[in-house]
Amino acid sequence: MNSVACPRPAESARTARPDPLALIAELSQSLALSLNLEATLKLAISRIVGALDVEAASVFMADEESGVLRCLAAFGPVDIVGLELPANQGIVGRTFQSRSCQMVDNTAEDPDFTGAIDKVTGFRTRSMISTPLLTAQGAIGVLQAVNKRDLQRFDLEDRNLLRALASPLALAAANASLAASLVEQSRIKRELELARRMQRNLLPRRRRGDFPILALHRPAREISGDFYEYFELADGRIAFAMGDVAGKGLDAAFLMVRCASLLRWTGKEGQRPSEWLARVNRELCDGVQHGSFVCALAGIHDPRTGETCWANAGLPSVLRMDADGVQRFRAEGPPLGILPEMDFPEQHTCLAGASLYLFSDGVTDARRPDGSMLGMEGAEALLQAGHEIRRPQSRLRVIASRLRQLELGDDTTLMLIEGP
Amino acid sequence: MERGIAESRQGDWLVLSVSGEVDLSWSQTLRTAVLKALPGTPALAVRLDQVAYIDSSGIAALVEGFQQARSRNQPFVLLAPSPSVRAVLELARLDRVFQIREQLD
Repeated sequence: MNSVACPRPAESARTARPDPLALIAELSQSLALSLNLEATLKLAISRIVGALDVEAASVFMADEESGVLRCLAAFGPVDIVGLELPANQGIVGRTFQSRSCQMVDNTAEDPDFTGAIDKVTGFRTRSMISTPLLTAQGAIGVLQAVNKRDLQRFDLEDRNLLRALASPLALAAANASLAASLVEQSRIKRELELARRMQRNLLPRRRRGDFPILALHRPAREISGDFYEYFELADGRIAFAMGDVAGKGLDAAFLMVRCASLLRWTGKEGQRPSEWLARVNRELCDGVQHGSFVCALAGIHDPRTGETCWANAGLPSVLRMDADGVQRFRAEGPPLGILPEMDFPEQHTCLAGASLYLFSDGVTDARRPDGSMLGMEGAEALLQAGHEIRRPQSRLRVIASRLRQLELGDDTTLMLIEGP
Repeated sequence: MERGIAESRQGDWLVLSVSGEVDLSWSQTLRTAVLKALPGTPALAVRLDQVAYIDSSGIAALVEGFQQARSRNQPFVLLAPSPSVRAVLELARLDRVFQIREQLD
């Protein structure tokens, strides 16, 4: 094999070779300052062609997904930009895999030489020197120069110069790819922000005046699996609902949107909470993927009498608080979306002089500074501590600030219904 | 407690004995084990007496297994859940969905 990865004596009979230090300094600076990597690379490669006294040079970058090395910039008699080589074949592939500089004085004698580029371009590659572009993440590409002019041989000086120039090239290429991934990340971030706003718009607006239902909602991430809803019925009663979709990702967010719409449209008809949830459950079971489910609650509150009834499908217990103390109402129905033929028994209470608190498990799963979970007891204590505050808006603000002192790992939603 | 899933046979039943905390970082392992076990057995039991904690992603893995089994008329039971797992199942009324047994006989 004629490839050489070890030093050989430098040849002395050289004329007019540019000062390598000056060239390295110039190229490093222009690559560092460049906003247009491809144009700067092309300029850099043209200077390398001059400095090494070769016919052509090019930069290949690795595409991990497709397992190829793709030409990003080239200078020479034929344009090979965009041309792809397998990352594990040929002398360029060998340079990439072995992460070491390769010098080949006669390509015809190198068993790895495939002539892939020559076949496409008609160019004839006689000799080659190539060096990997290395970063902390490993090899990201290859810089190669071909056909030393006037039948000279590549020497140690060529090798050192090419290796020295490969470093700023690798840095510039890595920076450019980092910049591209930052652009991609910021695009995804913008889209998530749009999704978050869309979800936010699904929630009812806060009402002014003495509207008896207030809510707070803190998504754990950009998008949420929790939702709540309230709206007036034609007879003056108020329908309310809350949901918590299992999971936190995009799939949970889509299911949240579907379930929130179903609950809203089914609830507009003012039917009893048990039938309301049963209908939504049947709809959800038809088309929800296995393993997805929604803990939900739907109810109707009469602001004139305080009469309130609801059905709870797997959300934490509902708490009724008045001057005499706390009453817990445990869920009677399982979560929605698991089994189509389920019933959701109703629960009733009168809220005259009392308040009702409904919440998702983000409240009970909140963690204290010592790492312990709040649990149902802790949630009850937290709500009870604020209960002497008469004005519901102020009370909810106090609850919100107490929740902020805890670590909320999950979407957190709390609804307060204030009786007459 | 060390996390793990051990398999054993008891008559027609394949028993997956789960131990440790089942949270978001590990529920996918439980899900895969349950879904892989189902086609190879007439009936599946998931033993939960050594599970110290289970979150909603762990529950979702069990729900998915239950639904898959149900679509093939295959018995699927949760066996001897620990007090904390039982509390989670009962609070969300999943005791109305799953068959929960203390033992298989």
